[in-house]
Amino acid sequence: MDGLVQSRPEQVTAPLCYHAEGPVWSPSWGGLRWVDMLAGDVLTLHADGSVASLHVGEVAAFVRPRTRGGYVVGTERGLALADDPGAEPTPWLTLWDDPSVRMNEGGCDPRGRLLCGSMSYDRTPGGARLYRVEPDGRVTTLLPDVTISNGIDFSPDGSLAYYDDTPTGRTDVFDVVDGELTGRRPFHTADAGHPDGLTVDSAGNVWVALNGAGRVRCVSPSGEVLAEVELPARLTTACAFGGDDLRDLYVTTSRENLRAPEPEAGSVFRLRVAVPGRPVLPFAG
Amino acid sequence: MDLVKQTALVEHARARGGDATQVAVTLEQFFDGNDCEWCIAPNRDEAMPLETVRRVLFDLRGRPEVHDVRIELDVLEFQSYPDDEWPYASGVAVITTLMPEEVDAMTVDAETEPSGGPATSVDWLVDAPSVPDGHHYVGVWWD
Repeated sequence: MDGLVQSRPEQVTAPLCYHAEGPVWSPSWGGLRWVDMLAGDVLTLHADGSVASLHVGEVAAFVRPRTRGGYVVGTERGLALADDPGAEPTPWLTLWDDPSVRMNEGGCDPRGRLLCGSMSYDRTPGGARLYRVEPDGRVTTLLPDVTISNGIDFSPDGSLAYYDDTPTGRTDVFDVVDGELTGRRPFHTADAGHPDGLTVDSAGNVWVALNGAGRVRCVSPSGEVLAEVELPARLTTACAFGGDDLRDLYVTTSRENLRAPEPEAGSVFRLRVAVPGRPVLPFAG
Repeated sequence: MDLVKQTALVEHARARGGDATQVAVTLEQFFDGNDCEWCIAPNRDEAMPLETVRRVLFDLRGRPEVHDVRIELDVLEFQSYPDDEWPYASGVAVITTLMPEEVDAMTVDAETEPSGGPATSVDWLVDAPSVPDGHHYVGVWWD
């Protein structure tokens, strides 16, 4: 272990999920939530270690808290809203009609807008998009030809956005100018596995899950690899900071399409880090 | 055979220029709904099912050293595809940090020939997968 990573990964749930994704910590719902994406379930980890599951549809792609309370959840082709953290969501927007395309990942920008992206079930190159949804429901297509739209998060000062379109093999970075994403350029290339979910800590370091490699990697704003953590499941899908001090890094894992998954695949893991994360950016809608 | 998926694949390949050039498609595009045993891996042992080829290629894509695996469709044979025909492929593009002989060891169950490459670009292929820094192309094929 190096100075940045202060513990080995600890398994905090049983392998409950087929495809765990999108961990997010929010005091508004009492701690950690994540999704079992292709089961359409939102899961909540309670303080006593028990897990509650809420089925929201065919797909539950991601979940974020709302500034007014409740949450927004990405469904197969749109978004649903709930006014209370424990309530079932109500469909809100349909973003596309094509049944061959599903929602995949999303997150909010510092202005409270939701950025969410899709993928086609058969991974058709260029068959997906990255959208921005305003609090009033207006939708803008930001990237019209991505393939597997994945993790997105912002630097602490909001001036940079980091983004994974998984088949590129890279994490890219954008400048954020007047709220718009511009100047897309490569930030870090994965030499193992596939860049999946990501999160940015309070020092601006980018933590990215390398799906297929069973690792989470920390990259400094200058592009230097600062740390790498190996997990006992090869399909590491996403990571997020949590805990009272935001120094617990939660990592979700999957057993999607594996003929011989590891016994831990589908579990959530946790490890301690030196640099805290930041509170999750909520949706203002 | 899933004729909806067959039609979708043919239309996709045709739209990308597949009547005159080789188009790369994902494993899902090629294998989902496909039960045409001889659409890939010619001259293999007759006892080896298409499912074995599919499994070998998906497992290969799941390796941490492998960035992507795409099917290299041959130029489309038919204007209108019969219900029992699927677009044919004689090769597979593997984007990886592995050397060809290492890939061969992982595809031996699909009775592949010694792989071609490594090559730094895949410019003959429409919709070729990206080649991240440190990776290269290895061509898996069957005689």
